[in-house]
Amino acid sequence: MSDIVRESLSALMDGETNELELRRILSADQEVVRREWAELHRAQDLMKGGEQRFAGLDISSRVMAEIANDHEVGGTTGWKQVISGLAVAASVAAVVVVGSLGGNMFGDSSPTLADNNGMSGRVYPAQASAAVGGVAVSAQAQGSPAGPLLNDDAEARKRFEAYLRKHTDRAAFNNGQGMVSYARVVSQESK
Amino acid sequence: MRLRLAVVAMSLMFGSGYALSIESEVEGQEVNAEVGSDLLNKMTHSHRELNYRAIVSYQVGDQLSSYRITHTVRDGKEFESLESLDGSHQDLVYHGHDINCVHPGPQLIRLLGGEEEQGFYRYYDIDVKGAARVAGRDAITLMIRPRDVYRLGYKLSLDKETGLLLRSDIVNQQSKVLERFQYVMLDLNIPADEPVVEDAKEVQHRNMRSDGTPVRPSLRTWRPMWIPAGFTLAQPANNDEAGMTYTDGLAVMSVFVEPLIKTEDGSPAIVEGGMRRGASVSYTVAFPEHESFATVVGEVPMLTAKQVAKSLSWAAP
Repeated sequence: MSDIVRESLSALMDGETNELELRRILSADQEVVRREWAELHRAQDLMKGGEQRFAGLDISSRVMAEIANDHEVGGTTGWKQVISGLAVAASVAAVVVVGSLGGNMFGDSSPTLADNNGMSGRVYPAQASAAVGGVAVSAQAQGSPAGPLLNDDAEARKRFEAYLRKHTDRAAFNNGQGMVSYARVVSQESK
Repeated sequence: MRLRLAVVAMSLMFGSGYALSIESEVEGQEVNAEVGSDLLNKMTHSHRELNYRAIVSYQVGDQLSSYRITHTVRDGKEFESLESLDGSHQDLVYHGHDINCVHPGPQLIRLLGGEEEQGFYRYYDIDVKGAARVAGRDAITLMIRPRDVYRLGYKLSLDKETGLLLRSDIVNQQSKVLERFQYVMLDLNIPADEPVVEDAKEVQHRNMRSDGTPVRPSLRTWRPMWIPAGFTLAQPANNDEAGMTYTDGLAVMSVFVEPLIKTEDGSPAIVEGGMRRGASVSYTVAFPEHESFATVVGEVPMLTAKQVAKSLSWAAP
């Protein structure tokens, strides 16, 4: 499975996908994608401290069987429609943002093109990223149940606040807002 | 060198016909990308150049808090304060920022001047949505939509006269509003020697060195192997070994790396995962093989923070 598909899956998982990514997923190698999808869900459940009752159960094979039946009747188009229908029905929060996508999304300004302008000279191509997705996702899925994500909530939140303040020191001069940005930090600390 | 660029950009922006073009374009239905980019340009510097006092509300979910902002310019230096008006006292001041000190974020918007498909404008679609009224002032609302999944969207209402950002809704890819800043009062007629708050905490301007002194060699051995296209370093490279900050002109994210915290039995005490509040997210990843953990913080989608955090790579020692 390519890193692109893996990233797309991850995006779908976070409800942050778009039509292009959905298409990538749908046109990718089904078997592998299916497994990765299950892994991602298992990892998320683990992080949330959810139960693993259905961990071993792969209903997608049955779904695939159903789709295969349908395929015989409906042909390729119907097959694809069923899959996208399922994706939506499975409440994957796959909001397809067809309208709001600029035409260039599919053209010259795809994320593969890094924009080497000016100041940094350090902009990395979006897809030259062997490290992204693969390594840590699977490490997470294989690891022992590490407990819920927010187990040490207080500690994690304290770190979050400290980082947010440091980040805002830098962001305030770059986001066009100035000191108003500090409301993000202050509103949190005064709670 | 950057100073000169800024001066040129500013003089271009203050050119005649600016106000006229806004009037005719907006009222004349002709939606023009130039109007949006002109306004955005103005936004990036007006908040630093004007004397004003404002009350701003900040909303996240069902929580609302309000602040008084005071900003003055004296002898080419900025004085700015933020006072919290509810809850416990949390006052911040910022003294003596050189008004000509240029930061990369505004530069990304400024220098390209709305040239289609260049830099900033390649990653966002900008629509002039129309007239609005905020804090008793005439404003113009811009819809700024990201063209990829790695950024958030913005609905910005900018003061028609000054370009000040009067209202900002940051929205996610599903058009859900994550946080809102809104001015409820704006006074542009305060004297430049208006006293700023006493006893407030001073904010450090850490990341720029305008005097051009050579920065000391970095101790940083890590860097992200991936950031979304269009983001550039927001501070000079190697300036701060503890963190790197990137911006695309609107969104800003920072990467911080610290020594790994461990439990008593020596296993990492850092759990991978994200945190979220308003438009700000963080994603933390442990790198036990480098005795470190990394956190990406910023006003970006969780997906972006996560992918950047996971892409961190260390140079061979």
